[in-house]
Amino acid sequence: MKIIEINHLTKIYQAGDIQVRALDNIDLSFEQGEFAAVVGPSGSGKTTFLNMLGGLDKPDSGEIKVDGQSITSLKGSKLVNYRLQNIGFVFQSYNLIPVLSALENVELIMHLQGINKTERRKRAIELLEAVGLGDRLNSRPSKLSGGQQQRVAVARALASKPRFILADEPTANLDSVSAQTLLEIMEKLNKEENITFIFSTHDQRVVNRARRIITMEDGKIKSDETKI
Amino acid sequence: MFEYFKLAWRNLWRNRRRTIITVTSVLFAVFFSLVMRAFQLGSYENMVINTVHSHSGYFQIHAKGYQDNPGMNNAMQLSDNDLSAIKNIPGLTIARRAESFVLVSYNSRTRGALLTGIVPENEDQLTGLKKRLIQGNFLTANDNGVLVSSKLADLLGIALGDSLVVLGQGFQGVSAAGIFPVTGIIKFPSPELDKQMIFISLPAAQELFSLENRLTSAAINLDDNKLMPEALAQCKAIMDTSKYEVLTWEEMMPEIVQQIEGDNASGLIMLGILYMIVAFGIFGTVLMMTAERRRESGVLIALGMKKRLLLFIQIVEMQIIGIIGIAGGMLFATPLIYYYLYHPIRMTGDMAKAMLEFGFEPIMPVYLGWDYYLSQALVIFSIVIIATLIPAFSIFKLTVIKAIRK
Ligand SMILES: Nc1ncnc2c1ncn2[C@@H]1O[C@H](COP(=O)(O)OP(=O)(O)OP(=O)(O)O)[C@@H](O)[C@H]1O
Ligand SMILES: [Mg+2]
Repeated sequence: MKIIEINHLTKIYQAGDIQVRALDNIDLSFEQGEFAAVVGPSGSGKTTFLNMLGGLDKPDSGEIKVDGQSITSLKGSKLVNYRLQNIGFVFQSYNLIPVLSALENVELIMHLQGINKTERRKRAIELLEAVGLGDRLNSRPSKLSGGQQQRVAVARALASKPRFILADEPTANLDSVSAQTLLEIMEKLNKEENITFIFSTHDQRVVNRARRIITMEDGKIKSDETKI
Repeated sequence: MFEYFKLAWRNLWRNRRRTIITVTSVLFAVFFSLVMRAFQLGSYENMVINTVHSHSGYFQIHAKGYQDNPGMNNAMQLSDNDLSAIKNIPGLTIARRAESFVLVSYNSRTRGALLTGIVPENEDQLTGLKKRLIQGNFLTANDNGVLVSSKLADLLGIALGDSLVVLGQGFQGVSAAGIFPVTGIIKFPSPELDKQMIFISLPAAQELFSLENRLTSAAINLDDNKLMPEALAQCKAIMDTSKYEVLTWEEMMPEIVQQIEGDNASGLIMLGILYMIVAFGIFGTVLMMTAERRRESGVLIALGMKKRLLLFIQIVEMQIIGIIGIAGGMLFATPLIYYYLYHPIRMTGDMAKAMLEFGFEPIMPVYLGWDYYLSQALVIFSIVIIATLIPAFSIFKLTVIKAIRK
């Protein structure tokens, strides 16, 4: 089942006198349950691409449809709600809320969704157990390692039951052991729960695990391979 | 809701020192302004009470035109109906008077004096005249004697038991002359008053001035300051205002009102400056906070938090500072104000002398009331809201990708 359809997506940045085509007429689609890596040299447009999918930035032309509905036309609080209900974000630098514990960080999203306390607590605990942090529920981010923080971030991204998860270089700040663990967890969630992951990366070990590899260059799709 | 409060509360303690400094600044502002206000309002209240009780009463009833042209020819007749209706106003007592400037002499010495015919009991209630008695006896209702102020007695060389001759002008130009035995000597702290006051009973004065049952004025005393508006309105309703004037002490002595207003204005300017300092302190804190949390705010918006909610949390956060500051300020100020309420500061030196000369007790009293507490709280609240909103509005201009980019 197709969940994301991208047509003629173009984004041009004005950097002084020069125009940068960060995304240049991209056509792509994603299926439910994909585990896809977006790769390419620095400046090739990976972050821009993920931001567009996440509704954090607007294209200059083209369209993104999620479940048949165009998201490029959403604005204001509709857009905020769209993100809340449909997308899970994992950032390169974890970006957990420092004053909230691991558990509270995961719960916050569900709180925004209006889920009641017992249910969100139960789900938050399950998710943190799934990422192997069942024993660190009440730790604040500053008491967790980078790898642990990123696993909390993955749990947080899953909390809202999103249609897909976007992760911009999720392992870039992690040592190889932590990166490996994170990947295993993401892979397991993908296989067992059929959760769709789209992530960008420079990390060859991450690339190796991806089932689909989309290579970008100068804002264009250079290749798009799916392993069988 | 509770979750957002929790988030605001924890955010507050991220920079403990800054929060403490901000709270302290609010606390000190509230503390100082409350204490300052307590003394200021207390001194006004004291001034009013002193003024009212030194002579004028809270308000007076005269024949129309008496205020501009006092004298026997503007004496009034107060009907029994009107009088009993006024006496029925709750918390009110009335001091009927017949007063006029007269010449007094003893042996070969003559002086000018202010003679007041009084109902002794009521006059004592209003002005505490009986306390001023230093020799002899106080007047009774139909007394034939006279009370003479001590300095005047000295000037005349008169003593208890001697007879004082009074000469003046009575109703409709009739000449007024009488002889009164000195039954008491009274002492006024103000030398000015002490050398010119004499008192006789009201019936004696009415006879002296051929007033029959007329009065020159009726001074109204109230059990409590706060009864004033109601009592005044009732009294004005009772009296036929085409024949009578009902004047408040403020109308009779506008210079005292002006003095209070002038002083109050300068006090309010001081408060204004204090509040400005607090406002800029909070403004700075919020400015730093929003800058520090740009990235975090961006993340929250990306994850699906509405900007409105983020702003709300920021306001809650600052209001907590405001509330702690206000509560703390009140907590420290109240016992102090309470202390001075029961142990007013006694003035010494020239200041005390000046007050004594006006017949006032030389104290600096305080006023304790919920009214200025409430206005303090409201002002600080509004300041916090405004000082928070201005910088926090930058949340609305925040673009997520810029805030998140490393
Ligand atoms: N806000 C912006 N203003 C101007 N140019 C921008 C802006 N954001 C991105 N660009 C440009 O767009 C192009 C694509 O940038 P993007 O961040 O998407 O690359 P990337 O593939 O994520 O690179 P990296 O691997 O270094 O993260 C780059 O040339 C970048 O300089
Ligand atoms: Mg990037």
